[in-house]
Formats: sequence, structure tokens, C-alpha cells
Amino acid sequence: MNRRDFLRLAALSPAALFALQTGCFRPTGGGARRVILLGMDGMDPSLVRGFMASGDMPSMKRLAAMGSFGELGTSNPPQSPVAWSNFITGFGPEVHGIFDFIHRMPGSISPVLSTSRVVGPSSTVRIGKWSLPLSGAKVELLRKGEPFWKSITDDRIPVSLVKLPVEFPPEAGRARILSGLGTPDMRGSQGSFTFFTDDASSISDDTSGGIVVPVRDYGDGSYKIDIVGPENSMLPGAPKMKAKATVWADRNARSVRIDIDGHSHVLGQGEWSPWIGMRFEVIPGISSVSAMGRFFLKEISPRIKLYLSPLNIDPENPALPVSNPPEWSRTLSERVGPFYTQGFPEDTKALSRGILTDEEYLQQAGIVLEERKKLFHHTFSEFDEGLFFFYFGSLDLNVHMFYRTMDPASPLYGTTDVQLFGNVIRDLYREMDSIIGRAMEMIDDRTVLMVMSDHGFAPFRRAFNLNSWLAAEGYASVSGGSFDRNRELFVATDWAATSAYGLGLNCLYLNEQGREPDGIVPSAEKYSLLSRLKNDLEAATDSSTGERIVREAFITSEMYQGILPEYAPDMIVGYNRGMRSSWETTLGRYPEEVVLDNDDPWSGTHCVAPSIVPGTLVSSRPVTLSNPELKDIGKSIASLLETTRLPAGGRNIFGNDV
Amino acid sequence: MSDFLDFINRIFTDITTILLLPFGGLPPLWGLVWLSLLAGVCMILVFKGFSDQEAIGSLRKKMGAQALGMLLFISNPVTVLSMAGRLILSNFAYLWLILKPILVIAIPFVILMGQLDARFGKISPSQLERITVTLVYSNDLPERNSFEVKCENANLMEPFVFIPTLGEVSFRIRPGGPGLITLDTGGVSFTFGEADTRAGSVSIREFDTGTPFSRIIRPWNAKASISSISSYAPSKGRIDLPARRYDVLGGRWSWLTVLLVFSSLSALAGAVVFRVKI
Repeated sequence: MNRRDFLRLAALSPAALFALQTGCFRPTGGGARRVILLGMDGMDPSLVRGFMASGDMPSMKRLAAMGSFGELGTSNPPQSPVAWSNFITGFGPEVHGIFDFIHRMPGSISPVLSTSRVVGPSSTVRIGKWSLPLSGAKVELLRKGEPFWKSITDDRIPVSLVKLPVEFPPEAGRARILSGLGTPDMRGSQGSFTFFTDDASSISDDTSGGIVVPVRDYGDGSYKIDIVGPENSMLPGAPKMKAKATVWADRNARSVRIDIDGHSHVLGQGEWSPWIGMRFEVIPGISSVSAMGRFFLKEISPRIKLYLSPLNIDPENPALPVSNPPEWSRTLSERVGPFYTQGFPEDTKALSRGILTDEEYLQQAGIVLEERKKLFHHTFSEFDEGLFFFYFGSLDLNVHMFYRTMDPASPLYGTTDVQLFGNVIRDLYREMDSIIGRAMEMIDDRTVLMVMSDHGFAPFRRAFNLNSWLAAEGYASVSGGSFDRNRELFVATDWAATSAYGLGLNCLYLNEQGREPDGIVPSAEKYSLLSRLKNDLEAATDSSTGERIVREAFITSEMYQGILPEYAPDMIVGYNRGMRSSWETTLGRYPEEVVLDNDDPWSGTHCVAPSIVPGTLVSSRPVTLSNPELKDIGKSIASLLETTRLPAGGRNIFGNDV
Repeated sequence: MSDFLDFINRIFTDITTILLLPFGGLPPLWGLVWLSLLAGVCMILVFKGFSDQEAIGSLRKKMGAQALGMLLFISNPVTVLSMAGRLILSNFAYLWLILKPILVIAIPFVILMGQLDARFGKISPSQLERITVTLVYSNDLPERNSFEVKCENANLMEPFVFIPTLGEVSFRIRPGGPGLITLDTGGVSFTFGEADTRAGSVSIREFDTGTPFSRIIRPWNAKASISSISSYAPSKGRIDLPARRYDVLGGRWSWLTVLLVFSSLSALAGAVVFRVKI
């Protein structure tokens, strides 16, 4: 008998009503009592096939044999915030509104984060130099659409979603949620490190991913450092708050003592500190916010090089909400210890900028993985019934950085120590396999285990400067010299002669009249212009390799159904295998070369045409749908749990075999 | 004198320990709240015993009348100003009346705060993976090559950071388990941590070889024992422990906040029950 039959027969029986209310009624048909869903960001089905065959993923192999293994259709574009939003809502960007990591608002070219935004207090009162808020500021989740788990929690079925992507801040409701990807650091960025050094050669104006702070020893072996924190919106100009610390250097011992907030921490060269708390005074003596960071003493002699991780929201005392219910993050922190709360914990930017070496980066990534595993083992041990979702991001970020170790065609293959780092990716997949093995211990007749990923991976060998190409092809006009061309946010753009521009990793916008600040393209000519652009992009080739740059360019009004939001891009550029947009072009620069080698350690990508990078889906129950997609997972889970109402989006991948 | 002061300190510590006995097996917050409530009641009784209750009562009535007078004669600025002046003087008189009981309360309150800080202020060393120890030297720092520390119930972690400017040497240890940790260096032996595993036990986190007077109000500071005279013996030392926070009403409170809130509540309640005029 399933839930629907029970309703029919029991009608208004008080006992039946009570059973439903308390959730103690569980499906008695072919449905599941428990669904375990492991989200392994970036797990590539081709790599999984290879590792299963080589014996490196025995648990995955057993799971696949139990049910099914296959590809999972990803989003377009196949970027994590878009993909996970598809998963959560059961619909594409036309409903949830996330098209890229960054958007631009009509009327402005300035990029904004696509997943969340801070809304200041509606009213303040000035007392001297202070602007005291009369109402609270808040962080808004910009992802639209009803999450699939609402239909599950409406039936009072327990739901736990740990490190859920694109869910910051976490929505109130019956589901237990710990926010993951998209959670900012305390500076409001996706991860901004600080590097203290007296090495002049390290100091530059480059602020991408973090800041380099020059320090000096005043002769007594101490360095006075200011740790830059969040902005203080209560003061005019919102200056950044600072926490003071003193670093005492003992060069003979190759170590330092860091004194901060009345506490002392000893650190040897090459060591990572534990999480260290620090407070930023909003109103001295009255109000402060807490944060935490990890120090790494890279070098002490001849120059001091001290790395500080992005300042994370302290889960034990969160300055911003990272869990629902709010106290859950504190409980977890008390049980497993403090953990990274920022959405992208692996500091890939520090590696890209040469602040951390490959080995040092892997140490940091290892810390992240160990914390995540502890969190998994604890939350999984508490799981009894309903839906349990746990997210691992280690594969995604580390494959981004170490794809070059398995790609002989990568420009960096020759300079990478493949002997030393050649097994990084394989070892990570083995780690994921051990997690799967742990989860498989719970499989029984009424428990379904699914492992999914949001996309696969492809090499990033050649970087395409989309904006430079647009200028070369006459779709954009650039003024100024080389200096202006290399400045961000379209400083060099002559908008009066520009009909299209690229912003973000895959998005292209027309400079439309009445929509863009200096738009010149009449609405009536949009479609013909887009068609021409599509043809030209798909015909463009890399002069060095002869390969096509773009596999397919997608006109969004054709691709997505319904009325798109005003800020939606006009085109999604689906790059060919081996290609991707350059970092420079994503924020409106116009470098001289149109296509060049990617010499950044970020050597793997998934921001290409979706058909190149499908995700992975493995299930202990056979999947009957031939082409499952991310959008289908939510409805399928609700079907397994036999909820009264199914989510609106997606299809049931298990067909009628429930 | 030194022995006498240590004896006094032991008395205060033992009294507090006895008061906390019923709560030894419960989470620390129970004992902290209990002592805070008790402190509030004791304070209000001391206040009653050492204050001129009649004078306070009549002064309060007078102040009330002066405040009311200001309202009644609001249209007459001269009268209002005159009443305001008298009210200010009455306030000073009130402060004078409560000064004696407050001074009497202050001393045991400060001693109590020391006891509470020592018992509830910091996380126990045995709960931590590593602890920073800092030794302070009045004279020169010891020679790096001959610097040696022996540990009991803990493992030493290198490196040792020498800071000549401050006269300090810092290093880390890894606690071996519950109970006291003993470090021995330069002829000085000092013990820290909690001798007792029950909640609310005194946790030693500082030591010195000097005067014990401050230990009465800082019971977390212990006397080091000197086994041999050495010019490279530390004169003081401390271990770095994170502050303990308590979950109260959805917030994360320090021990001091718990003490102030609950002692105030019980003092106010005591004032009603025992008819104390404040």
C-alpha cells in the first residue's frame, strides 16, 4: 500500500492523520524510506569508467553493477551555479534566473554576483560619524523557483542538505541546510587571501583572488600586521575594518609566533595553523564581528612570506547565516571542529598567482578534504530516514588545477612535475570511492543510493579573448592604447560603435538600444545580428591549431522557453574541447591576441559546450530514462519517497519502476 | 606571608569547590548559573546588612517627590530648575548611602570573579589538540642549544620560538589526556590544567615564582616549584587557552555575562523577597 492508497482508505481517521503529521507513515510499496544522494562536483564519467576498469574505484563499480551507471545531462552553460540551480529547481535558467557566475544588470555594465546579494538596512540614524541601522541588513538568495525538496518536507519527511550549492543564505523551512558553493568569505568575495611579505618582488597591484600586504621588521624581530576584514557600513565611505596582529619572527628556529586578540600561536616554516579566530570592531567596545582564518608560514628567511586564508564565517558564531536552522552550523562545529564555510574553499587563486606552490596548494586542499570527510561521517551517522544530500567539491577544483598532469597537450605539461603530481586526480577519485563505499553500507531494500555530478571535464589549453575577437570582427570598437585595452570593465570600449560584448565565462550580450546604457542595436535587428554572430563564432578557428573555437553558439531566446529576465544574456557561447574564454575577457578586457596558450595552472574546464562535459549518474536502482538530466533528479527523489505532490520540473528517471 | 596567602587562596578555592559539588557531573553552565544566582542573593543580603535602609527608603521617596514636582511645575522654569538641582544633590546622597555596602560587596565579588574565571573562563587543556606555552624570563633567555623542557602528560612540539625583545620563549605541547600537565625547565617545575575532571574545577593556566598575593584574585595562577637555582629559569609562564562560551537563550555568552545577568536577576528577586530597599 502506498501513501495515496492509505489516504483513500483512512480518510479522516484521526490515527491516520496523526501518522501523516508525525511522518511515521512510510511507504510500504516499492518506494524508498531513505534516499542518499552524493553530489560530487565535476565527477567525469569517462574518468570514472577508466578508474573503475583500473580497479581504483571498486565501490563505484559495485554500485554501478547493482543499478546503473551513465551520463547525466548538464546545464547550459555547464557552470556549477547554473547546473546546481537546475538540480535544485528542476528547471533551467529561464526559471531559476542563474545564467553564469556573474550577471550584469540592465542599465549598467558592472558585473554582480549571480547567486546572492546584500541589501542594506532600509533606514539608519546618524549619531556623530556613525550611521546606526534601524532595520537589519540582509543577504538575499537570487535563485528563483521552488526547490524540489519542498514537496518532500511538506509531507514531513526529514531532509538534510549538507554543503548545498547555490543556497546562500539558506532558505527557512523544514529542511536542514548547510550552505555550500556561493557562500562568501567575510570580505564578501568568493575567497580572498592575504599574503604578508617583505619581499618586494611579490608585491604587485594584482588583487585577483587576494591581496599582498607589504610588511617590515622594525629591528626587534616583530612585524605589525593589519588583517583587512569586512566593510564597516556604519561609517562614511564604508571603510574596511582591520584586526591587528603581531608576528614575532625567530629566524634561527624558522618559526614565528603570531599574537592576535590576546592569543599566541606558534607556527613553523611549512606549517599550516589551525583555525584562528579574530574579531573586527564595528563599534569599538560595543559591537564586533568574528571571523576565522588559517595561516601558512611559507618562508621566514631571507624574506618573510606569511599566507592567511580567506577570512571564513565562523560556523560556531556566524556573522552571516550559513545554516537552517541557524544553530545547526554551531552544533556541527562543536561536533567536528571548525570548518571552511566559504563556498570555494580550495585556494586556486593563490596557486594561479604563484603565492602557493603545487605542493602547498595540495596541502591546503587536503585540509579542506579532511574537514569535509569529517563533516560527512558525522552527518551521515545521524541520518536515519528521508533524504540525505552531501556535496563534495574537491574533485572539481583540484581537477581544474591539475588537469595538466594528465593532458600531454597542455602548455604546462612540460613544466609540471608529473612524477610527483601525476596521481593527484586518481587519488581524489579513490577518496570519493571510499565515501561511496561508506554510503553503500546503508543500502537495503528501502534505501537508494545515488551519486551524481553536475558536469564533467575537458582540457583548457587555449584561451579565447571573446571581446578581442568581437573587436577584430567589427562587432566592437576599442579606443585607447594597450594600457586601456587591458583594464577591466570595458574601459577601452567605444560604445557608440559596439554592438556586442562578452561578460562572464560564457555569456554574450548585445549593446541593445533602450537596455544597455549606451545601446545602439535596435530591437528589430537583434535576431539577425545574433544569427550573424552565431555563424561567425561557429566558423572561427584557432590559427595555431586550425581547430574550431566554438562548438556551438546558443541564442538564448531560442534555447530557453518563456520570457527571460531582462538581465539574461543574448547568447551562450559553447566552446569547443580544449578552448575556453580567457580570464581577461570575462571582465571586459581586450588583450591584443585573440587566442593564446593558457599558461595558468587552471588547466581543466567545463565551461564549454554542454555536450562535451556531461555529468555522471550512478544509482543503486536502475535508471530507466535514456537521457537523464540534472533537472530530473529532484522529481525522481520525490517519486522514490512517494510524496503526495511531485515537484513541477523534471522527469522521473526511474520511470514506473518505483 | 607567602604561605599565609596561599592558605587564604586555598580557603576561597575550597569553599567554591564545595558549593559546586552538587553540579560536578553536570554541564559547566549549571554550576556557573548556580553560583551566579547565589552571588546575587548574597549581594542583596550584604547590601541590606551594611546599608542604612531607612535612609535609603526616605531618600528614594524624596527623589520621587522631586521628580514629580518637576512634572507638576513644568510651566515654572525656576521651580523646575530648583527641583532638578535638588534631585541631583539627592542622587549624590544616594550614591554616598550605597557606597559602603558596595565597597563591602566589591571585595568578595572580585574574589568570586577570579574563581569563576579560573573554573569557567577557558576551555580545558585536555579538550585541545595543541596548546601554546609561553615562558617569561626576567634575565637573559637561555641558550638555544641547551634549552630543554620535560613534559608529563603532554608531548612537546617543536619549534621553540625565542623572542629576546620580550624575554619570552614560546612553544606548543600536545596534551596527553585529562588531568594535570607538568613542565620542567631551567630548574623550575610548574603544573597546569585541571586536577579534577568534575565540571567547575579550577584550571591552572599561569604560573610564577614570585609573590602569591595576586593568586587570591587570580586562582588560575599557580606557584611554580624550584628544584634548582639557575640563571636561565623562567620567572613566569602561561598557557594559551581559548575562551569558553555558553549557549544561553540562543546566544553565546561569556562566563562574565552569565554572572552579571543571573546575579542581577537573583539580586532583584532577593530585593523583593527580603524587602530590601535599593
